[in-house]
Amino acid sequence: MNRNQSRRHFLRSAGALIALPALESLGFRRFTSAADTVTTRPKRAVFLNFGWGVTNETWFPDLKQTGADYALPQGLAPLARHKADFTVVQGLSNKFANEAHWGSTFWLTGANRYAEPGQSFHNSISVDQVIAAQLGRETRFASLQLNSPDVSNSGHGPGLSLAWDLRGKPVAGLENPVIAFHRLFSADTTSLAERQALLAQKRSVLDAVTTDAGDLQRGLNKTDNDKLDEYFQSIRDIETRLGKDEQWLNVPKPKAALAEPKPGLAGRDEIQVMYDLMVAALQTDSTRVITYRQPVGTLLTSLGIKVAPHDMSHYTPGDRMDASQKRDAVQSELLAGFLDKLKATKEPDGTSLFDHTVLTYGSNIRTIHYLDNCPTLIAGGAAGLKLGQHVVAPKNTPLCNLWLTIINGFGIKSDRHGDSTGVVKEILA
Amino acid sequence: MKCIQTLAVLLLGGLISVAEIGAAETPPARLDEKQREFFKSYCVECHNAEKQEGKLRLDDIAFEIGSIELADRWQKILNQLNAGEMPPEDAKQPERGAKTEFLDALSHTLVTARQSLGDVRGKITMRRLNRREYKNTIRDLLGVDLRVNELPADGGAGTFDTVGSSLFMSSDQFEQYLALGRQAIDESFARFAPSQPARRMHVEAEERNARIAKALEQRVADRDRYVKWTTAVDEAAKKPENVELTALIRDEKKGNATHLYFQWQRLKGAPSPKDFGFVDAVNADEMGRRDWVHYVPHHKAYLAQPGAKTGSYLTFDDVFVNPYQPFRVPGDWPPGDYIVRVRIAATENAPPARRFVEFGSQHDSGVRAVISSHQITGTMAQPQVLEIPLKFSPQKGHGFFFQEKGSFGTDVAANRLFAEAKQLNGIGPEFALWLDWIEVESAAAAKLPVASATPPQRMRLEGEEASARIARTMADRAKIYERYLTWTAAVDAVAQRPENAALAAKLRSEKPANPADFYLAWQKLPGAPSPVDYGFQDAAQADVQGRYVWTNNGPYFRYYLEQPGAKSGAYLTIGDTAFNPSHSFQLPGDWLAGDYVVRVRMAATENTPATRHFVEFGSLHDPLARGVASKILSTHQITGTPDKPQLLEIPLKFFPAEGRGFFLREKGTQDSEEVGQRLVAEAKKRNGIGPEVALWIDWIEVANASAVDAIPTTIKQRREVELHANAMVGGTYNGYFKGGYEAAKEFLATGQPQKGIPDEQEAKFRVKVFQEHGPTFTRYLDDPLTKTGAYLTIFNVHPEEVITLPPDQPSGWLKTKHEIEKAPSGDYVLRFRIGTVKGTPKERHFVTLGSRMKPEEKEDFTLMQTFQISGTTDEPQVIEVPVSIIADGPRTFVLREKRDVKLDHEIYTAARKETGVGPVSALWIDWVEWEGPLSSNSPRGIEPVLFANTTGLSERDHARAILERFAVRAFRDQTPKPEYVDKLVKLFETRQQAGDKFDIAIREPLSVVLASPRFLYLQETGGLADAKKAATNVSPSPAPPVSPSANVSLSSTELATRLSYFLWSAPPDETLLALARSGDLQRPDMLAAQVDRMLSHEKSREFVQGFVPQWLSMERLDFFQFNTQLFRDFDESMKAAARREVYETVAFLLRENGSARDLLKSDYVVVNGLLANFYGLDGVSGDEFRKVPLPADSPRGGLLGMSAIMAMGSNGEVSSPVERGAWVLRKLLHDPPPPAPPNVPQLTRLEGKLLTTRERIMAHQEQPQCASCHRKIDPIGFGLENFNAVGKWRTEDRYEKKGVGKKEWPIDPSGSLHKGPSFKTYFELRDIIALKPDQFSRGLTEALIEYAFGRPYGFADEALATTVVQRASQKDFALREFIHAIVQSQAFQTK
Repeated sequence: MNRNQSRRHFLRSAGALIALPALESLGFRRFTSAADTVTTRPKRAVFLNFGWGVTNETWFPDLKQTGADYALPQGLAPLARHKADFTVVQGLSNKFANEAHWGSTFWLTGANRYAEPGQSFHNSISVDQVIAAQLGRETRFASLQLNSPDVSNSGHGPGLSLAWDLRGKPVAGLENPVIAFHRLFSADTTSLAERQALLAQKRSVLDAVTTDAGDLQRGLNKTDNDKLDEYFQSIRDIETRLGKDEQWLNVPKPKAALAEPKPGLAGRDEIQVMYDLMVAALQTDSTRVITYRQPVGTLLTSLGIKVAPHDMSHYTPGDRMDASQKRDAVQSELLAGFLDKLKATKEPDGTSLFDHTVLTYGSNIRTIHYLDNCPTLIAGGAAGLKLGQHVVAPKNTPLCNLWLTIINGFGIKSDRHGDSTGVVKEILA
Repeated sequence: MKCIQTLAVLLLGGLISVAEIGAAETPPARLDEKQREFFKSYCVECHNAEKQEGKLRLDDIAFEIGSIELADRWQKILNQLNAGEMPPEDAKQPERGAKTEFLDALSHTLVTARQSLGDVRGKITMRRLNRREYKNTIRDLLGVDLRVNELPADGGAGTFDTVGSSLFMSSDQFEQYLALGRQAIDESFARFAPSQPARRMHVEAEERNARIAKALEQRVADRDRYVKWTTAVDEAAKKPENVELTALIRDEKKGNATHLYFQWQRLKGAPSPKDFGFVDAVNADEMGRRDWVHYVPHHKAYLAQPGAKTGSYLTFDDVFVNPYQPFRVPGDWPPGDYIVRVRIAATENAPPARRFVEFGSQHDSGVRAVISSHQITGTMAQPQVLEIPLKFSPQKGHGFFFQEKGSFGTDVAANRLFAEAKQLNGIGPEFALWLDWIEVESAAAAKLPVASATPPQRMRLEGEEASARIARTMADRAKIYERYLTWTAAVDAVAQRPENAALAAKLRSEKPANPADFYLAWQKLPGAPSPVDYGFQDAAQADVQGRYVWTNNGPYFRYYLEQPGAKSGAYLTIGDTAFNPSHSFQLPGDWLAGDYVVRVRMAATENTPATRHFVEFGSLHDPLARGVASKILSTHQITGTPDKPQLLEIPLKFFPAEGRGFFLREKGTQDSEEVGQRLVAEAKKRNGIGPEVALWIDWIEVANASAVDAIPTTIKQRREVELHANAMVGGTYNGYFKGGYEAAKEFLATGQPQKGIPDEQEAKFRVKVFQEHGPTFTRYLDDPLTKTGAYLTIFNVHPEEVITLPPDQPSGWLKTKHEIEKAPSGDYVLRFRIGTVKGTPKERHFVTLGSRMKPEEKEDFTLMQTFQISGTTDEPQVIEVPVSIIADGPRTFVLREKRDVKLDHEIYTAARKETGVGPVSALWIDWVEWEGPLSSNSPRGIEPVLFANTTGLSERDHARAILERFAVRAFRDQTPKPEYVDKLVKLFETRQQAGDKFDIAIREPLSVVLASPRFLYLQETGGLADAKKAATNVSPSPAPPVSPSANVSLSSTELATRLSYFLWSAPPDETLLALARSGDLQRPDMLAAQVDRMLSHEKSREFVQGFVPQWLSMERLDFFQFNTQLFRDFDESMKAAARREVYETVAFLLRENGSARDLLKSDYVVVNGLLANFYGLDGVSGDEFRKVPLPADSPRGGLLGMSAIMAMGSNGEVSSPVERGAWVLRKLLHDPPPPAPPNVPQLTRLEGKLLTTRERIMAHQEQPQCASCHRKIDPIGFGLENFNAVGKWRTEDRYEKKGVGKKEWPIDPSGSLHKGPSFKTYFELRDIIALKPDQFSRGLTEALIEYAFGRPYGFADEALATTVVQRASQKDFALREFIHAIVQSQAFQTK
């Protein structure tokens, strides 16, 4: 088939269906200079969480040095070259947090575990999903949840990723870089007709199980009905996804700027490759919202550290504290590399990906078993936040105030997230 | 306690039914009024209506915490107090004791408030199967063990994993269920689904010989007629009137005797050849003379060949004497892949050039084409079975043949060869190739469409059963002999009496030849005892049964049982029937006539003559006649050896009318009775015992064709480990170490770079490593035991041995030749022969077995089991481990000496420093093997009967029937709606239209069943759903929800299901379902009987392993890595054994219905050899856990004495009295402290100080926010300080810190419980706790209720819990009583 012809064909058919996203990623040059004036580059949000907290003594900047002129502590030293492009915020916490081993369960939600009468566990929507509800409409993937096989070891707490849906139920994540790569970039080798048949078959499967569910529903009381609704909801979610798949059926997946990751990566290499994949996902505009629940246990192993992750989190001076500090340094190093890539990736309008992204990096656990002053670092130019600062928020500022700030920064109108009491004025540019 | 208080109120109230309590409001949590004063003086002073410090008003806050908002406000207050931020430093400070009391009261009230606000009011939420249950349910349904690791773990939010409200569902999870379901269905098909009975034909080659014999007969008859005719012609010729003419005719062709006969017509009175059945003279000459001369010698020689009775020979082109062996494939066989097998041999004298056979096709038109040729290496003594794949297509014809290569090259050539040979020997070419039989079979039965006529039938008899019978007989006879000896001793005693001495001497002298005959005359001795008193009929019987039988047979019995194979199989003997001279078996009475295969795994013993290595197989005429063989069906040479037994396959055409009994026996031993007797007598003369056993049988298996195809043949593959090990160790040594050393030397001498030695640094390094490690390698290689096996070493050399199933290979230097490419899914057994090295310490006599997904990754090791080794290198033991192999599961299994490999380098270096070589090996392995897939006892997956489309259903209807039945089973006896089944059928049809065959197309809808809500959820509606359905009839919209307060009784099926998931974590079995269907299950006595049955069933292990770790919060055991540097023996194996001790103890109590009090204190432990060693208990070895009594002064016995429990109360390095104390309060005393508050400031003033553990912890109690809880917790923890971080007993502790110093102190366990009794020692503490079984039982009961009902324990359960504890206490807290009480409760039977 003639190449140009197929391109035109694609433009016609895809253009009719959906707004054309990120043509650059599909290998197009900009058409006309006029496009420059109309294109506003999409905004992206990234949330990175590392479970267990950090080393209290060496990660946080001195509380007395605030503003742009502060000394970068040892744990953040590898980020020195980006110092002007990120802000460290102290004093934020989730007031309902009460589980010392749950570093990510409520991090993005700020929920009260006990809020639901008659339940011993409750959660609410996470900030990434609030943003994805808006930004996700135009991309193949509304949001991307990345995980690690090592979650249980890494102090994250219950959940299937950092994300929780509108009803406060866990959203599943992709477990390793290989799976993520294929989800994002693997070209479908099957023909359109086959894919359509496959979609039809998936629908028939859903149809069959829904029939059974509907039958079962009769005779259930309210609580059971609510339980069964989780099942219905998961079916609806798949249907939504199928609908989206169908929409994108004749849009080929973008070509990845990187090779398929080697299987079996763990720890440091795994995080590194995940960061690369995230850059590629944003660059190709496959998604605009990403969360990543990082491994800690295998990170230690990959650094040759023999101390177990939970042991490390209980550090006392000696081996365990050394391990904790080493971990801090490597995590910062990896983050610095990620920021490098975001800055280096140019958008069609000449700006960088970094300029259109908001990135938050942190955990719900400060250090050891402390849940206040959650370690928090923000970077990226998308939400109009003040960068290059050390900010100490007033005492008892909810972490959700930061989330609300970001939500508003994306132009989404909302006056509340979780237990927020307002925005964090100190970081508004 | 709050619960007890609440309870008291309820009990006083009297007759409140459980249901009413469930509906009642839960009691509110209330902070005691006593605290009002404290709160007023230290909080309200600033935070009141006027002052409102920090914009906070507390003067109006309610003490009764009835709402979540209020609880959150109070929580904030508590947090501030805990964090030490309130009251502020500049304000009035409370007195410490008062603050402690206030914090104690507030934190407890808040816990109660949380419980109260979160109380589910007895509501049970419908729940999804948790991960364990899902796995077990698939196992019970399909007989497949799935790996379910991909599914998210359940119960993370602090509840049991059975609690429905915490079991979520997401779209990804749904897709995982679909994928896992498909995997399970595929596995199940691969394992169990019966395929069409394989197409199979079998031709005995000797059938052709009948034709040859007949032809010979014909030729002899022809010859006879010819002779008769020529004689008559000769006679006519001799007649006077013909004499002249005769001479004339003879003269016409001199030297040709037959000319006369051609000219018979010229002779008067000569008979016509027609009268003798010939056409004419030419015809007579051909048939009667020429053919006779030409063919008959060959015919005769052919039939006289030894193999002509059991097979056929291939000869040269000569149409009457089998020049090729043709056969036809039946006309109705479908096209496809087949295998042609021919059992074939070359004769002894066949020249190499003639040892080739050609296989070809013969079209119906007669056109023949050679397809392939094959060299024949089989001999007449050991023919080979040649397998030739055949793509069969009926269009190309059904005929095939075998012929000797070159025998049909061209007619001329073949004729010439024949003629040349005939000239030499008068017969024809020597016989070179011999065929026994030809078989054609469909290659892959799985590729054929599904449908099955005859169910697979299969039986297996283990040889050792026969040996066990012999052992029993021997034991019986030994007893009879003993009785005989007692009797004769008694007679002797009487004979020795002075008054009898003379008489006895006389009697003895009468029969000097056989002294035993003396006792036959016992009656003559006055006072001698009667043999009747000793259980004999009379003296003669006593002599025969008591003496003769034993002295005659005893040695042979003993000899038999001492043979190495008697434990694992049976020997065939000669002579006496009781010794298994004829190993016979019966086919089951319901087996139908047809083709079967008898498979015998057997061997010939070493050192017996080869002539004895033949076995006869035959049928018993009269099934009741023991061992009397009537008909030998076949004889087989046995070439298997004890090390490598062979698998003998004997096809059997079975006709029930001819009897169901069959036998195997050594060839020629029972041709007549005399033969047997002679052989026995000869042997006895030679060795004094009897004939050496020559043949050994491991097992016999009989199966019909469909069973043979449905279940793959068991394969057993043994590997002598030294081959790989020595190649690898030697290769590393000679290559890297020695080779590198020599090259390095060369470099240092010459300065020239060598291979792998680029510079001086490397050279020096290689010299060094060679000197360091070389000796350890050479020691290994020089050890004589590495010639026959391999050592397991620590660190390098040979640290592990592997058992690999194909396609996995032991990594390294050699490839193992696997018999098959890939081991199919199924149950296997791994075996290894292992022994300990003399002089090594017994704590090193443990081997661990782990699995490895990726054979090449040494780090990949998942611990499976640890074994204590009692065998030695002189007498190794064989360990057998069953494993289940699944498609994507591990196939490499690793054996290592038990240890923490992280320490290897250190241990190795230390040993090398001391001795110059690495540590000695403690374990040695002789060989490893695997066997399988074994016929499994697990349920047969999708019932084969489902696949039998015997009534001629259409494929669609057949699929529907299968799907419906499967759904009913999967849905635990609930019938799905027809619409649902319709949609499944539609899926099937879609797949079929997409091109899938029936058995593939059906899999998609089958896996959808496994992702449907009725399968995934345990729903309980009490049959209400049906009632509603009837009422609303066909309501298109969902019915309105039922009010949650209505308590409905469970239907009996629902009850069976709840019970089954409670006690088995698995679906109800057929027994339970049958009782549910009949309604009997709801009878209390039946319910109790079922509970007992289920608890005795092996599946109750699931209850123990599901409930116990959650109840006792044992996840903490995995929170920390244990420092094996400090606790060398507490490695992964030890930790696993410690964990298992807790399970095994509870399982033991459940089995024996022991008392729950034993968990607080007991005079025994339930341990295996490994743990006994760890605890220092002597005389226990072996891997099974068993009850072991304890010495009176032992700290063990009860949970507190268990290593796992104490290890949980540590951080892997040092003990944590706080964790332990809190655990005891939570789990044993039912007095849980409030959760540890976050954000409590650290004590910095202790840093850099040398303190004992007690001092350090006591310092914490200075702070009121800590003291409120720690005053209760810590004393208990101190009382347990005699246990170190891994639960070993100690009397001293130490603390060491770099730059600070170190300190040692004797442990002081004394203390007193908060407001309770004091104790001086751990033992006294344990006694105090052991006196509170009521509290302990209460905690246990609440946990059981949560686990069983699948919802958090709540206020609605108070009355039930009280009843349960009461009922149990009346039975001395018998463990089963708790379960009975819960199951019998109304709550368990309602929702």
